[in-house]
Amino acid sequence: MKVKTISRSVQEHSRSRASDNHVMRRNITTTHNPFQRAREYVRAVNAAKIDRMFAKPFVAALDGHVDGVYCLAKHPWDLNAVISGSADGEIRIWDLASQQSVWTAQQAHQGMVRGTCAIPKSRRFLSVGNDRLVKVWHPEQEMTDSAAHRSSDNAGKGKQSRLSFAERARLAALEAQEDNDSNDESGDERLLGDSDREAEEKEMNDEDQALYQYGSQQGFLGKTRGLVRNWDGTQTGIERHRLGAVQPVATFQGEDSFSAVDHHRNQSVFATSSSVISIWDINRSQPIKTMEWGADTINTVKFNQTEVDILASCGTDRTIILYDLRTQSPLTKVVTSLKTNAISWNPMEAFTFAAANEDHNVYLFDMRNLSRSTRIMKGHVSAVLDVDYSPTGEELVTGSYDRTIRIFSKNDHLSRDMYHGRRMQRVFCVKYTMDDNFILSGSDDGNVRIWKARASQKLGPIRNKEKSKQEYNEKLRNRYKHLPEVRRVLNNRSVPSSVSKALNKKLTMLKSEKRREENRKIYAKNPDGEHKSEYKKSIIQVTHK
Amino acid sequence: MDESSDKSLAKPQPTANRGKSGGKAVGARRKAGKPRNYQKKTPKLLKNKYAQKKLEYDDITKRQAAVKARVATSYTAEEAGYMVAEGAEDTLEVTQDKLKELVDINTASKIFELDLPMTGPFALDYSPDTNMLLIGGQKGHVASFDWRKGNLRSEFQVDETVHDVHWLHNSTLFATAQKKYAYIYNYHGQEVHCLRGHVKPRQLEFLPFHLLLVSSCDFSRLVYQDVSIGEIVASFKTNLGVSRAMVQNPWNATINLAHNNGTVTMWSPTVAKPLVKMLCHRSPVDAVAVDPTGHYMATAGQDNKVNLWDIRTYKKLNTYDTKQAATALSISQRGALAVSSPYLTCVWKNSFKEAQAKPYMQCSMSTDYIKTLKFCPYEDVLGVGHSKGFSSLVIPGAGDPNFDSYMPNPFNTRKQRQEREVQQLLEKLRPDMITLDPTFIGTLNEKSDERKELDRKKKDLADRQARRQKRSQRSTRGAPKSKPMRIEAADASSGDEVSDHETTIVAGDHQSKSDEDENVTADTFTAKKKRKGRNSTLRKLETQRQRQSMDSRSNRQVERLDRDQQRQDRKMRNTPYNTDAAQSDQPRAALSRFYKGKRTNRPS
Repeated sequence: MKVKTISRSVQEHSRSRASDNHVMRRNITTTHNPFQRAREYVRAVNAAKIDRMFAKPFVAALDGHVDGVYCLAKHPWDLNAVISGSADGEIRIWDLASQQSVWTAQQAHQGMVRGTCAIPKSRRFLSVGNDRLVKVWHPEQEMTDSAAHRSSDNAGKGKQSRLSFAERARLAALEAQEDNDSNDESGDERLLGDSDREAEEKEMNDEDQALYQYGSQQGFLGKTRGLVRNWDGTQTGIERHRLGAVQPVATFQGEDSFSAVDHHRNQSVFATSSSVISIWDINRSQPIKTMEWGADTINTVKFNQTEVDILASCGTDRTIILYDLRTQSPLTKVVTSLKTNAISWNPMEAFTFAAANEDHNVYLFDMRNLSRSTRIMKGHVSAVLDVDYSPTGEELVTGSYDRTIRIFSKNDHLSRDMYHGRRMQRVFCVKYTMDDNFILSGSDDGNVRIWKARASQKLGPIRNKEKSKQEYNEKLRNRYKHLPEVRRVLNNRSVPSSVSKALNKKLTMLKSEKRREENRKIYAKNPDGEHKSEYKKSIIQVTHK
Repeated sequence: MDESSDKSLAKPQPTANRGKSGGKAVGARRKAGKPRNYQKKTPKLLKNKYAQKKLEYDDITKRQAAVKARVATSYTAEEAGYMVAEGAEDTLEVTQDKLKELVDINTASKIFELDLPMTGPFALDYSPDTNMLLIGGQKGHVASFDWRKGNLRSEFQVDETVHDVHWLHNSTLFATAQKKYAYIYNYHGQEVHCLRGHVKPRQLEFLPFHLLLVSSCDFSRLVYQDVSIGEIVASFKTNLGVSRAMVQNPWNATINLAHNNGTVTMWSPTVAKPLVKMLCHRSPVDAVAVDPTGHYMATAGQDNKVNLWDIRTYKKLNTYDTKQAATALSISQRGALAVSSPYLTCVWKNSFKEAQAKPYMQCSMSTDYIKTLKFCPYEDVLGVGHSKGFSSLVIPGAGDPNFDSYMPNPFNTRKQRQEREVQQLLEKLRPDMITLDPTFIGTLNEKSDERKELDRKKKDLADRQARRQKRSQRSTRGAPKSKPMRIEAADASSGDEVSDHETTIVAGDHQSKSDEDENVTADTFTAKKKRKGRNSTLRKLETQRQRQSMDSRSNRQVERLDRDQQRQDRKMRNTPYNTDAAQSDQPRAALSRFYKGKRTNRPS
């Protein structure tokens, strides 16, 4: 008789040491894993709920501007720095990691700062304002001679060049500050005893010390307008002001008040928009070329980042105009039914750009065929004031007059997410950060806000296990997103009452408009002739030069 | 029953160096021209080439994952037990005492008896992780212990009748069906809950994925209680008397009840009537068992018969006669069927696949009443609860050797058990997910889509009609701004459409309606003409009439859509819900007969 029975030893099935992994065995037959589909569905519902539960997109508000923030600029090579300009003529540079304003120029312009833009491959940036001036700023050169010497002596050139734009700006501000207030040591003493400080000083070289002191100088508290929150929520950093000390390295005089500025990607050429598009060489005092095609005032000008000699502008006469720098002339003009407020080029597809329109929509255009928009993104209930592509070109962020920010996938016509804050006013400028993880918004209330690009994303390092779990959840959500229960959870947003009211009103209007159109079709002589594609509806005229 | 494991039972293969030879075999097969599974081509389904490409990519990854999973599990697979007779030997002659000498010490220790003649007969249950055994004697003796090590965990006397005992989701809680109510005890044997919703419970079951405790009570009541939130989910009157046995179908979580009138009924907590009512015996049904795949069911009646059923088709597979009526049944993970009659417990192997001439094993018992039989999962062990206590028998080849560590497993640590408890709660299935076919989730509900399309068309038409009506009213009310030419043209085209595909009845209807209209309009026309004597009135009435005829046209369209819908519904009813032919032979046949009869009644 041959007999075998199941006989397991404990040693075989359990780990020998506490540091070992558990012995895990799988049997994936359906008999041992019944209700697989049902359980997966329940898991998907849970994943959807968890996603919404952890959706806390607001990271921080950068407080400092007194008036509304009307322009933002990011540096194409520096993740950390963002430049903001406000309506009272103030420009600030923010360090996003420490969430502090590291450099400030009060009265940078008389009246509003209308546009700023970093100069690629350099530490300088440009700003334009209502005062008909273009100013070139070099935050690093703000250092007084002694401070500059010291930092170059001690840190060495290699180290200096490794510092980011924001850090250098901060350093410069610090050095100058240190010189101005070298006698005022009370702040340090309050925080650290003399002996402690001496010990600290020994350990650090001058540069480190400067950075360190920045955090510890409590003595400037009286001069600051507010405290800035750190990542962990503690209020340690102090905002710094250097009244009247900042000067631009160059200034250009224009004829009209400017509305925007953008720099060429690889030449030392920049474009400004006013009543005309002016192309400036940074070494010349007068524009090297001006281009115009009918518009009274031009709102925005944007260089294409891939096809680098192409520019797009939009004007108050409801036009979007494309220019070519090589022929130094306009190419094409599109007239839309309402005004376009902002333009953003897709960084990955050279021929695609997004236009934020006054009619609450964002239109995507193919540069090669402007007679129809390739996609219409709907959702806002008021004029869209700014739009920006993510650095991957996969997503768009829009800021609107309805006090909300919306994020669209480039292939969708409805927004993926909507952000709003109780204290956030009309959003005049939005930017995707260069690492694709955050969104910056500047609004009427004078704050620059940092938002997560993916609302439920966890910040900071995560373990592999957690990451794989998150990926699995993502897959589940994706798989079951069309089922009613999951869809309901995923699409649920708490909307401000003003927005929901406006939305209802808008929907009613659209419905009645549709009804009227249908009626028109019924009575039309040629009903098919009446039909106009949705993508062509808002485009009135296309002119080529 | 798992097919692959069955094969390995028939032809035991050594697990050693499987990896190497297995790899070679795969290569050889591929050379012979058999394509690898995941290289199958995805059919062209979508117009959009990017979407099609994505579909293909998804398909490939899915197939690759399936292959990988299969390979991974085959490497970890352990061999199942077996007992093979050599020469003139017969497995039937192997008693437990003999078996003790043939097997290793570890297995031999699993053959034991608990002599408890004063408090029996005993109900029993193995905990989900198989480590703990719970026994409950009719006279109130309840004990839980680690049956492998022989460690007693709790033992107490409840001083009243205990009809049944059952573990809940893990080995920390168990329920007992006592004289008046059901109770829940913790692992110390302390009473945690008295479940007053279960009045005079007789049998208990627990659905581990739905976390439902089910009890079949006196007064023919069936009660479902969610143990995670304590809510009574459903309480039905079965109207079939006290059930004699209750068992769950592990595949779809339906509850099977055995009744005095020879029927077995299947229940879901969302439906107050049995989903299925099967006449299984011409006598009261004493015992019922369902196999873990949910494909087969065994019933034992007082007619001295054990019937085997395929519950996908509800057809009888086989009948075995017993000398005396069987009192308890159990089916093991690998499909061994245990049948107990007075003084005897038999085990039939492979009986659902083919008719067996004789049992695989049998064991004579010292008692005439065996109350409960239960195979221990992942073990070759059969627990027998009888009037003189408890017996643990070893049946080689009964249990599945491969457990899943992510399900309750014999070697789980405390931490793993706790983790799993949380998982179970998070993944709790809703009671309304219990249906005969649990795979309905994730399948496309085409019926509703078609229905939706029809509804949409109907609504569109109704809207248009309403609008037209409104307009015609407006135009008759207001100034005569008629556009006779246009409407005539529309009417003409609509007339063509109608003649294309309308039946005679409807056309006749249309005719009579327009006749009526003519009569009415003629009267009003003359009256109005008398009043005004102007041609504009004539034109107005003309247009009105035409509009009405247009309305009747859209009415007809609605009717047509209705008919379409009815036809669709009929078709739906005609085709069984489950497309698996094997599973739904019977209902389809019944329904088609019904409709055939109806069709012949129709005038041709």
